[in-house]
Amino acid sequence: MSEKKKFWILLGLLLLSIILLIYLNHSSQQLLLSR
Amino acid sequence: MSNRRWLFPHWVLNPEIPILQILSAEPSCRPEPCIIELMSKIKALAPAKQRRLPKISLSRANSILLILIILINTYVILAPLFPVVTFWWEDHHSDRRQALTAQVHRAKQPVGTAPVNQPNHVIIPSMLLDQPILEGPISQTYKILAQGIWHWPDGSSPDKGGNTVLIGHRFTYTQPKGVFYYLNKVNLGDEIALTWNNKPYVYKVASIDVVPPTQTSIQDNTTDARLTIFTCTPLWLPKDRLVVVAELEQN
Repeated sequence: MSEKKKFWILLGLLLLSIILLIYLNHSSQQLLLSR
Repeated sequence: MSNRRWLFPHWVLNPEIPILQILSAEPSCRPEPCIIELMSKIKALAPAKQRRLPKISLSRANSILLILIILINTYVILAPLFPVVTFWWEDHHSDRRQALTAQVHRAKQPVGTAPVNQPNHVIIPSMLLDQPILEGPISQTYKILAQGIWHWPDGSSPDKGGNTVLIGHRFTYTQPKGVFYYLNKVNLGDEIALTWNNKPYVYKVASIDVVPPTQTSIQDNTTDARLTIFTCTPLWLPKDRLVVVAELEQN
């Protein structure tokens, strides 16, 4: 696999990891109850 | 140089390639007649540099990206477990549990012996908790919850009877050890002491449930004096609420 291809795949994985972290942190702060 | 700029590809203008030296070495040379010859000379120098530089930077960038991905995902998986170690250490290497249990027993004594001028606070020995209770409007939910335990403003309070509701974080990635991280350590029959307006109240845990966040009835007022404590559960994806309800034991 070329370095360029690897770069884009890793960049995509990094973005997914950051989105997952933000999502989990956000959902852990939603404490109030709502119907 | 500027009038020749349109003739040359970008790498010809690269300062690392000695274009001026090549041009000055051949004073008779003018761009139009000998451009091809010059280009071939320059190309002989350029490709080696061109090929090497991006390869090094890309492989370095890939290594950095890989390290960042590993660090972020390790944090996502392990962060919820960090406080477990501190609880174990605190429980086995200090007499905090005994000290808090003694405080609960003191709260059971007649009102005259209760400590005065203390902030409203809650003591739960089974989860090694002794924290002040914060108050504030619903508009400041996030700010207050980031600081500690929040007394639900639309609920009752111990001195009025009814349902007193306390809310606190269990875990957040920005603050792994929430105030109610160990709420799952509370068992039926455990005692909870609460000081409200300098008056002690002791509650006994009557029920422990996991409910969906749509079940707002746990905050409803009741005819009996009770304490409702809730937080998020489970740790990694907190889609439910862990609810501990305690009934007033002694006033």
